[in-house]
Amino acid sequence: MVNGKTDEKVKIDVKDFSFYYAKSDKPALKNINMPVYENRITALIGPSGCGKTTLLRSFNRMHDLYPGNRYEGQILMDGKNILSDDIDLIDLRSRVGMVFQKPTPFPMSIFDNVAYGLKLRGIKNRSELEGRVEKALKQAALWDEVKDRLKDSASGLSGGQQQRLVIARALAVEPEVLLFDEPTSALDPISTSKIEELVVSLKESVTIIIVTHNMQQAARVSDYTAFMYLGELIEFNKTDIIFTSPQKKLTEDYITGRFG
Amino acid sequence: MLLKPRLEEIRDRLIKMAELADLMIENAVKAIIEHNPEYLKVVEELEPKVDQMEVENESLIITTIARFQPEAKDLRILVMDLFVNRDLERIGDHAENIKEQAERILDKPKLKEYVDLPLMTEIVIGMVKDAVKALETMDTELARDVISRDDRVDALHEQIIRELYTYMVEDPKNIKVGIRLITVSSNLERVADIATNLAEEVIYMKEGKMLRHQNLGD
Repeated sequence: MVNGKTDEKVKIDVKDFSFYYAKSDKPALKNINMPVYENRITALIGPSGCGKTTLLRSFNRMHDLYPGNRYEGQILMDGKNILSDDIDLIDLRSRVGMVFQKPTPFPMSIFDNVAYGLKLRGIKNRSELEGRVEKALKQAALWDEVKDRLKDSASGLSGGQQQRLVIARALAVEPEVLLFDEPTSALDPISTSKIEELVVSLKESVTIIIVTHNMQQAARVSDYTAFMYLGELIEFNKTDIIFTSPQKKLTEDYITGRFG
Repeated sequence: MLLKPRLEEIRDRLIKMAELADLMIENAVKAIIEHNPEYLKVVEELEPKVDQMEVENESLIITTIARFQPEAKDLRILVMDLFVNRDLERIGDHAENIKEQAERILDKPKLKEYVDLPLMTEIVIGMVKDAVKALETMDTELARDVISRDDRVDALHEQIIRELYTYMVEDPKNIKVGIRLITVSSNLERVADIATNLAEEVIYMKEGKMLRHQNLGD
């Protein structure tokens, strides 16, 4: 679907993917086909109810937390279908991390928040834990602000700092993919700008998918953009193209605010 | 800020493009002054490069405007970058025009030793170089100095026309080359105008003041 040739490596390949919420015959996502490229940022945009968050939550099988939800088609990560029954969900969710709209620090110290996932994975060696917590906090551009108070409660941090802490927690277990669900909608403009810069810097080491209501944010940070509407993928292309010369009229209408 | 590195990238690309456009003018005129067609090869080689850069830069600037929705100074810079990009490509076109004239001048004997043409070229090249330097450093004082040099170029252009006119009146055989040399001078005069535009664009970027067509009043 992308114009011209691409040298990009596909990390996730969504194939004929549909999704049904429990007790509903109507698909919330209809026959989605799109690639997610490795070490790139893919933004999912579209009006409320278009299915972008539903799609995002499919990448780490969050929908499995509620019985009756149903997937159809395939989501291939490195060629393996993550929707198949033999997938270990704990393992999948450590490979595909998630950051939510509102910062979700655990009621414990800054250090323990970041070390949490590592401890779950059985890492007990103190110096290894310290090393990995420091690395994750540095990656999340939070280290300098918290290095002298790692024992303090995470709830004492500002909203923007909490969100970076949550990102550090996700990074600590060295995921391959990070999902961001409206990561800045609860933050002020300065914190938002910091998170955006952070997200862009993280693509060096992880593949990123971000859902945002803020179209300008998608334009600023992403390499690829998928525009969704009523559960369907309308257009997927390079962000440069989506925001200058989209191929579909519906996309153009949405981008230019002429919707409805 | 995610926009800053993009602005720097565009600035760097424009400066690189300006260097090439400058080289084109320099070599096109040098071929005439030294009566040596070898210099024209440089012009020929650089022309498609400058054209290619114009297209790439324009696309980069437009996508940057679309993606970052710049305001105030950032907006002024990006819109002016579009003009600068086009101006630089025009300089390349004028070099190409001079080259075409040179090809027809060089297959005939030299009409005279050139005096004003090298002087005019030196001033024009200096204007372009300084306009680009002003862009690089956002030096509006230098930009205003560039603008002030345009009158000198206009005067030299008039002087060249007058002198060639006397040669042509003296001997109609001189007309063929004379007219072509006047065309070269006209092209150089246009390049000086473009350098003036570039300088005005720098002033608008930095200060938000439009200097064009000031005789129109407020």
